Amino acid sequence: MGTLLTVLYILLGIGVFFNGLGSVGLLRFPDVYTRLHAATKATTFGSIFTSLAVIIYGFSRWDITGDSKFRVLALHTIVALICLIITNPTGAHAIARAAHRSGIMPKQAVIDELKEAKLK
Amino acid sequence: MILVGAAYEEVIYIDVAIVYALLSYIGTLYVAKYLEGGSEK
Repeated sequence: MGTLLTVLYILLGIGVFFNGLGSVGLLRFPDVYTRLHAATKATTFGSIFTSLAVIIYGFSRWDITGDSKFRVLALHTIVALICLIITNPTGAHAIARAAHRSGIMPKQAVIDELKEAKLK
Repeated sequence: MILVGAAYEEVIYIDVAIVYALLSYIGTLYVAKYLEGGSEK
């Protein structure tokens, strides 16, 4: 139980640390794209680790107690994690594409090679 | 929400977390589509 708790605390610590980094980046970065970078990548990474902690917790409690409730907890958390991994970068890409289409340039940028390439 | 569900040992909270993730994804896509089309037309 001791090593299991250590692993869980390490995973939760990594998750909370990266979610906090995402919040700090959202507050301190200058324009849309860098804020999106911080708010999406860091929080996705942190949420993956917190969900991993819950999955390991559920499977270990299921192994110890034999209660099927913990198995359901772990499996539903896996489903939630898959939904999170698929939807979060896709939503961020949609926001960045909409921002570029509506003419927002990154701060301190002088050329726009994506517009020059005339991609549709 | 996943952590709340694990802390209170209630599986239904995990389902609420899944629904939140999917709804926020759909909302994000529609807002992005609105912003994208609103400036061009």
